[in-house]
Amino acid sequence: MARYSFIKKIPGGKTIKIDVDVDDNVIRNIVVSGDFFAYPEERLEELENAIKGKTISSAINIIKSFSDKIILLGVSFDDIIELLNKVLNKVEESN
Amino acid sequence: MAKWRLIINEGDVYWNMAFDEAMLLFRERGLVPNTLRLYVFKPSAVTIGYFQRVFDAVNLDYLSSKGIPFTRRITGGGSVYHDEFGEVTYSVVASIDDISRDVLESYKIICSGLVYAIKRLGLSAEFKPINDVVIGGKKVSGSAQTRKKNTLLQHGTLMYNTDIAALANCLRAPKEKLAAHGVKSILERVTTLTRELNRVVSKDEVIKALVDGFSEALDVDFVVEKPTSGELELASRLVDKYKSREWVFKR
Repeated sequence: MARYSFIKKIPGGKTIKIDVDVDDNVIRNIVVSGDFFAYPEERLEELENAIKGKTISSAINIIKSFSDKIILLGVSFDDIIELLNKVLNKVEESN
Repeated sequence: MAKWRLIINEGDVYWNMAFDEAMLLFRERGLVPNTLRLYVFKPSAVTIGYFQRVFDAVNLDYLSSKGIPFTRRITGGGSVYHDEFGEVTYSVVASIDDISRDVLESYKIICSGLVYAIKRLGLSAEFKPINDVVIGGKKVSGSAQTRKKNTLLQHGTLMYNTDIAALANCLRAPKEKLAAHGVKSILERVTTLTRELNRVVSKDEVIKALVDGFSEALDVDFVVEKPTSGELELASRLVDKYKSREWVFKR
């Protein structure tokens, strides 16, 4: 199991960070954190739970499917996907 | 003009957050009117945003060495230092339809209460989306909002004489964030009314300015009231959540 953390500061906006535990290309745990806003708040936890146990590429599709269920302010779904793609690149490098 | 309830009180960080949540839940059930609450944190404390990781948002060693209490808010946004002797916090609890369905617009409407309040004290401030109010580009206020189906709670700060060095010691901001603001430290990007006016501003004059400022921004009259016994009861039950490790360290 390897842990990856990536952070992005949106210019003039907020900060978003993901901490991801990956084992055999599968996301075991993920925390999306930062000083942004999300409505309704609880649904971000539903998103995190929905992608646990999934590969990173299927997780990205799941995140896209949440984009009409959560209103994000200060960050975007593309930012989350961008950070997950960085994780994907690192995982592929290490394989 | 519409009448809103005005509550002025104080408490520790756990009770303050519990009482804001209690007001939100009571307003959602239609049991209390739209409300402006003005309060201070006694003793000084730190709150962190709903989505923040404790270790990223605050300097835990500093907080524990100074015995400064902290908890997680139900609202998003960033970490805040609430100085007992230098900061007044406001909460607006209102029907969403009385403010705006649009989240960004509702931030702007409520934050204009702060802009008007600061103007009454003789300074020019502006709303900086999403949730800041700045004087000369420096942050003097930050706000955060959560919503239920029909009700919003927006709470935020107004720093009139905050110990900015203590604030900088308590809070951790990622290097990326400071770089994007083009300054090296928290110290350089926040200010207080006392600093801007070059005279000591008192809590009482800030509270008066806030009441007048929100009255102007929301076009309402305020009636001072005490909290209902139901809200007090619910708040005292919610205090346990805000004290729990499970809640505070949930991220």
